This record gives sequence, structure tokens and C-alpha cells, in this order.
Amino acid sequence: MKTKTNTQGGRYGRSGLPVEFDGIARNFKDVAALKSFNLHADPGELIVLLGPSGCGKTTALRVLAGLEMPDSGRVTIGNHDVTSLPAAKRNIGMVFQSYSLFPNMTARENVEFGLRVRGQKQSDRTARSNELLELIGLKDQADRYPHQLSGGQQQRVALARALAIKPEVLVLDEPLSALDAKVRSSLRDEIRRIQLELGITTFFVTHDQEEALAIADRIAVMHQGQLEQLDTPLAVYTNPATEFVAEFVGTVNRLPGKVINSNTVEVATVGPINYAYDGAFPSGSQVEVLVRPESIGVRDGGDDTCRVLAKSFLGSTIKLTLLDKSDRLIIVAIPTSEAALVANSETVSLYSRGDALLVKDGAR
Amino acid sequence: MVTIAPDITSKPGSANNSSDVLRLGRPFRYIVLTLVGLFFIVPIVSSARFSFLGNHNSFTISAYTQLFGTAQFWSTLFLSAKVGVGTVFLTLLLLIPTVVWVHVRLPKLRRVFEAASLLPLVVPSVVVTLGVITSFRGLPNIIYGTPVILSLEYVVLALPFSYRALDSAVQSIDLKTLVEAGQSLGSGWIKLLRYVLLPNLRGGIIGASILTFAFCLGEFAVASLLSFTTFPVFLVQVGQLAASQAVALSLLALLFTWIPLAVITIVFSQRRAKRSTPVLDDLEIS
Amino acid sequence: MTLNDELLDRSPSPAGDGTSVPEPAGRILRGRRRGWKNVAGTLPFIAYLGVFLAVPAVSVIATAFQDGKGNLTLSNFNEAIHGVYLKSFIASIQLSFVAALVAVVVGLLAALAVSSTSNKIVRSLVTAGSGVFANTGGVPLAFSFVATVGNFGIVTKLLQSAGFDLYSHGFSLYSVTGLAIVYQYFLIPLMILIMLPPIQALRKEWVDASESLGASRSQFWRWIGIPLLAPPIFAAFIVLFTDAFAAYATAQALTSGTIPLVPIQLGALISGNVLAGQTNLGDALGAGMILIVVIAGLIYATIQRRTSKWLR
Repeated sequence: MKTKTNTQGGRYGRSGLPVEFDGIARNFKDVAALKSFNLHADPGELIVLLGPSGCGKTTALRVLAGLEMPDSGRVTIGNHDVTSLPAAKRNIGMVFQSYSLFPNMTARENVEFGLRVRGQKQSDRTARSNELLELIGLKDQADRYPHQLSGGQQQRVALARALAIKPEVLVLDEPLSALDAKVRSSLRDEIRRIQLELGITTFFVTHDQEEALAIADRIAVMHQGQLEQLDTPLAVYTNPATEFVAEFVGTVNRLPGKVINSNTVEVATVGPINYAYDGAFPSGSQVEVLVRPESIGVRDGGDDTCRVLAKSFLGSTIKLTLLDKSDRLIIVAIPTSEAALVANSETVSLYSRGDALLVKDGAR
Repeated sequence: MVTIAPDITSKPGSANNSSDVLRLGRPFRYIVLTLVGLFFIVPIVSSARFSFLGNHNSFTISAYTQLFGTAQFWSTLFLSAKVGVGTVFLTLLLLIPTVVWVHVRLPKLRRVFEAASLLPLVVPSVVVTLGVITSFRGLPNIIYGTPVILSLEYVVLALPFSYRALDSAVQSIDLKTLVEAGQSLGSGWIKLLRYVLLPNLRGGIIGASILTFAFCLGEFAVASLLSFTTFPVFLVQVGQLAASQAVALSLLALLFTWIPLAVITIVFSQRRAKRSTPVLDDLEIS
Repeated sequence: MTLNDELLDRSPSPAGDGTSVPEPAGRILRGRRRGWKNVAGTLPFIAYLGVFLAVPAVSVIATAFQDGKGNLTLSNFNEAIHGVYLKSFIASIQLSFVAALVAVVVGLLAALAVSSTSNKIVRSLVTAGSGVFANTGGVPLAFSFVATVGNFGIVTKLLQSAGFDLYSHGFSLYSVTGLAIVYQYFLIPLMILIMLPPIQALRKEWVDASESLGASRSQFWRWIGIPLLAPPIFAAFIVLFTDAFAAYATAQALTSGTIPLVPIQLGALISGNVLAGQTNLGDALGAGMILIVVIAGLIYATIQRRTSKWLR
């Protein structure tokens, strides 16, 4: 389900370039930030590097930008090996977490900086900075200094500055994490819009799974310096390759179960659930089953009941925190349309309404 | 002579950062720091050597024994200490309520008061002395004719750093919330001061006191021009008669100012370091 | 938390100062009264500064414009800018300028060196040392230099036995040059203290950003590093200049009042070494000193206002 729609190139008449990480390793003193890291990005694709802090995502980004030299491995951009090229020669636009604008320059001067370094004429620079300030909607603030701009505006300028040099690849290192929630989601959409418009291959680092799901063509989930899974947001969510991915992206319930046949497993409290597993466990084996909250439904009454500990209304869904008879916490998300089911009940029983996410050997 | 407090208000510099920004070579660092270090150490070592120098390069402690045997040494030291204690007392009495008040009631004017505390830097102490003579000559003798006037003026002259020490101490605690919490629990201002403010401001109060006291022990211009023989004035008189005694005395005076200053500088910088735990996520192992 | 702070900052002040929104008269009045009550607690402080700083300073300035009988005159100033007094103003300014300049250069190099080391012990040693030495001064400093490079100082004698006579090569500790050297002892640490925060405020992100935009190291310094550090350096120069300009004790102790510097001349006038007909000359010198410091202070404030928001 790879998105190929963005490779046509935006209105700047460029199409993105493929990017390849090939067996990158990078150690800081005794800590291995990256160990044989491989990743291939298609032209024009937006790849989100997602993972907990310390997983190596920022290091991967800095290696691509040339700000960090790998101990071994190769980085190629559009079939050119850039591994030993210094950052200044790579033509990669970079946006940092925060405070990266040069404080002694106005927004416009910041945007023009890369062009000034390249010795472009003032008239060309002005034309280009006008174009970009327009693109990010800050033309009126062009002559303000960074400290006169809000956090969101600063990050827009940083984006414009990175794009001004017509970079071959755009990299963004947690560009939204210092902003408040509302600005974050609107700027997120704007970054995506601009990225699609330009058709530029983009890497976006974040530890926020919601952000990753919303913006990515493909998500690269990283863990301990390695790539755990590279797939579309939907696939990462519905079909996680590993337990870590399942836990990190979205919420899961871990429940003990017993295999009934090659595609059904009997899960404690919930009952039978479908699962797809190639290796197939022998019938009767004890397993642990990972189930998403929305794959479980509730109904009134029944024998195997759970106590409702808390109900939180999240708009389109209601999140229920339940305690089953063996004192296991179970999180269930039901559509708001089913609110009546739990309106007055203190106990509910459960059933499966979707597939199991993962089934793993051995119950604890 | 204008002195400035160690900058205890400055924000913690991100240590890992600046060394990366500068990328200066090791030889450069060693050469610069060694040369500058020598400039500061050689006079101390020389003073020590000089003060123990007898006839024909022999070693003697006579400079020190003679000093300690001089009645004036003790009396001037006592006078300076008395002036110092008075000044510290007056300073705290005046500044603690002011600083607290400014933070609680006039937080917007905080910068204005900080700037006002720097005003004494605009008027050199020699000029202040002249002004004191011209304007206070008519005052009763108990004020103008006794060292009381020294304490009164030293409060002003030491203000640039005493105010700053207290101000940054108050700034570092959430004073407004503490006061409001105290008031909501029914505590009056006196109790608030005693049980909430003073314990929380202890560091700043000690810092301000040491800086002020050190200033008083070292101040020369006002005291000598108003003809009070304080410790530094005595030191100059000794210097005209016996160089080695003057040097011995200077060395003692320097050590006595440096040691407490070093202690508060270290204490303050440690506290500053403690408060700024690095955000690991920002750096990600780098 | 920051959002809250911002809200608090933006909320109209209780004093209701200068809000263009029309308010009922009663509210404004109440606001004003509360404003006065808010200031009340600071009155002792303001009064103290008034009595023990403003009164003396103003009296010096006022007296400077009067003759012995209290008539208005400019003759004191006329005298203050001629002869030995003019010379002492020039010498004082020269001394302060050169001493500050040397300290700015050396202190900056030291601050750069300290900031570029990742050795924590060196860092805290230098910071603590600077905090301590910047407070050194006055008489003890003078004598410790006498013991070092005075006529019979330890270093002087060491050099002599090595065949080099400082004093026959034109050096004298008891001169303007000598003072400029002694002043380094508190000016250099002061410079280090002032420059460490702005140097450490240079962010790695700026280097990384400029590098990714294609800039070389020297281009980073030319367009970002130096423009950011220049204002604090200049401001520091002014602080050091005024510090040196106002210094009295070290010069007096070192030269016994024989050197023509404004504070020394003024001190001599106060101590009673006054020629007939010069009653208020000292006040004119004092007013002159205040003027010079105020000018320096204004320049300082201008720089700070323009650039203080850059490095935070």
C-alpha cells in the first residue's frame, strides 16, 4: 500500500530523490545509538521516524544531514553516495526542534541566509524569500526578529529557511514538540500540504504516535538503534510486526488465551477472537493475546462480567476502564453511538468485534 | 573601586553546547588559561614570599608577629568589623522587605528596582564622599562625626551586589505562591516572614551579608577621605613605614575576602547546577 | 505554566496605567489608590537611596555651579578643564580606556577558552575564581603588586638576577602603565564573568542550521557568532571602563596621590590640600566624573536594549 502519488514533483518542477540508509552504525562512547540501520525512502515520500527517546531516530536524521558521521555504513541520496560529504555540501534542508532561527536576523534574513551563503544576488534572494514567506503565510511578519514571533511562527520561518535552498531532501527533527497542541496540529497539516506540493522526499522525527499516524506516507518505528517496522500508518497500527510496535503505536490489552484452532483463540473474559498467524500454534497451547481496545465490544448482563471502573468520553468514542473477575485491567473503546449500553450499568460483559493484533507464545 | 557580585542570576549555560560551538583547539585553551592563571597566582605567591622575607633573604615571620603585636591592628580591624556588622544589619533590614514587596506586589517593576540598585555605580565613591561632606556637615555629630555615617553610606555603595544577591534568591523561589499559600492558611505577615520567607531566602541572605561585609572590610576611599582609620586606612599607613608588614597584612586581607566569596560562589553555582537537570530527550545520547 | 505567565503579564496592571479601554471613573480611582498602596512598601528603600545617594550627588552637582558665596558661576568648570585638572581627566580616560581594552581582549580569550573546554573542574574553577577576583581591589591589591613587581618585588628581583632590570627599561609600577596592569587583576575576571553567559548562550542548533544551509565555519562566525557577541563585548568594555575610571583606592595606595588622575585629584581636594579660591572646584570635578559615567551608562543601556533579547 505504498503511496506513489507524490513522486510527480510539485510546482517547482522537481521530483523527489530516493534516499537509502545502508547498514549505518554510530556509537557515542559506550552507547550504540544506531546499529546496522537500514532504510529505503522512495522519491517524494514522507517518512516518519518514530520511537521513544534514545531509540536513535535523531541520530539517523543527523547522519543523513551530515551533522553526524557514521562509524560504518553508507548513505545515498538519489544514487549518490554522500556518506563522507560534509553537511554544508549536502543540500539538505533541516528544521530543528526549536530556537534554531538566527536571533540577530529578521524572518526574511533567516530565510535568505542559505542563498546569501551561496552568493546569490540580493534581487534573487528577495524574490525567493517573498515566495517562501508567502507559502508559509508570514509575509507580513517578514521584518520581525525571532523573539517577536510566536513559537509556531518561528517554526514556519525555520521551514521556509530550510526550503529556500531548494534542498534535495527535507529533514525535520521533532519540529512540533515545543508547540502547544492546537498550533501543533495545524502546523502539522501545513507541513504536509507544503511537502506534497513540492514533492520533496522528507524525513520527520517524532516521538508522538498520533502525529506520526496523521502525517506519514510510511512510518519507520525504531527501537534501540534499529528499524522495527517500516510500513504505512494503517499497517503499522493494524498489523504490527513486533510486540514493541504494537505497544508503542496505540493502546493494547494483553490477555491470556488458549488456542482453539488455526484461526481462533479463546481469550479470557472476552471470548473467542480471530487471529491470523502463519506458524499456527497447536490447538490447546497457552498464549498471550494482544487486543486493541476498539476490537472489544460490551453488552449488558452475561456471566463473565467486568466492573466498570471509569468512563471517559473522548468525542467520537468512549473509553471504558474495566476490571475483570481475575482483577485484570481491560481498556475498551466503544463508539459514542453505543453510549446507551453503559449508561447505567456498573457491570458489563465483553465480546470480540475485531481480530487479535498479535498472538504470542506462553501465558504469564 | 566598584565591585560586582558573582553573577548568580545568569542562566545555566548548556555546558555540552558551547564547547561544541566554539571548537577551539586544545593548545589554544591551555596556553590562554595557563598565562591568565599565572597572572593571578604570581602576585599571591610573591606576596607570601615577600612577607616572609628577612634580612639577606632569610625566612622570618617577624612581619606577622609585629603586626599582631600592634594595638592599632586590632583596633582598626575591630572598627571595620563593627562598621561591617552595622552595614549588614541595616542592609538586611532595608532590603528584605523591599525585595519581597517588589516581588509580591510590584512584579512588573522588578527590573526598575534592579536598575535602581545599580545607581550607586553611577556616582564614584570619591564623589559620594564629597557630597556627604557638603550636604551632611550640618547634621548632629553622632551621625556625621562617628563611623555611623560609614555604615549608612556603605549600605548604598554595596547595594549593586547586596540587592542582586537577595533579588535572585527571591526570584528562584515562587515567592508569590508561598505568600498566598501562607495567607490562605491564615498566617500573618510576621509569621510569614519568620516561618516561610526567611528559611527559604537563607542562601540569598547569607550571600548578601558576606558580600556586604567583605565590601566594608575593604572600603578605603570613603573612610580615608572622611578621616576614619579603618582597617584599609591603617594598611596604607603601615605601607608607608614597613613594606613587608603591609604586604603580610594585604595577603591576610585578600585571603579573608576570597575564602568566603569562594564559598558562596561555589554554593550558588552548585545550586544552580542542581536546578537545571538536562532534558535528555533534547539531546538524545549526543 | 508559561502560558499562565504570559496571561499574567498581559493582564492589565492594577494601577490601570495607560489602558485605552474606557473604564468607569470609580474603577480608575480605585485602581490609582491601590497603585499607591502597592508602592508604599518600597518607600523606605526609595527614601534611603534619596537621602544617602541622591542628596550627596545632587549637592555636588549644585555646588559645582556656585562660587564660595553661593552665586551661580561656571568658573569651577572653567578651572576643572584647564591645567593639571584637564590633564588628569585625559590621563584618567586614557588609563581606563587602555586598561579596559586589554582586559576585554584577554578576558574574552579566557572566556572562550573556558567555554570550549568540556572539563567541568576547569569550568567551575575559573567561574568561581572570576567571581572572587572580580571583587578584589583596593589597598591589598596594590600591596601585593608592590611585592611582585615593585622596586624590590620578588619578580623584579628575579628578573634582575636573570640580567633584566625592569625599572631601567622604563617600567614603573607607580605609573599609569603600572596601574593599567594592576587593574587587570579585577578587570579580566569581570570580563570573564560578563562574557561567559552570552558565549554559552550560543546554541549548537545555530551552528548545525548554518552548516546545513551550506555555510562554512567562518561564515557562521561572520554572520551569526560575531554579530551576536559584539554587543555584549562592547557593553562589557563600557562596564570595565567605568570600573577603572572610578577606582580610587588602588591608585592612591600605590602612588600616594602623586599620579594625576581625576579621583586622586578630587581626593586631594577633599583632604584639604586646596589652594585658596578653589572651594568648589572639587564639586566641578565630581560633576565631571558623574557626567562621564552617565554617558557611558547611556551607551550601555542603548546596547542592552537593542540586543538583550538576542541571547537568552
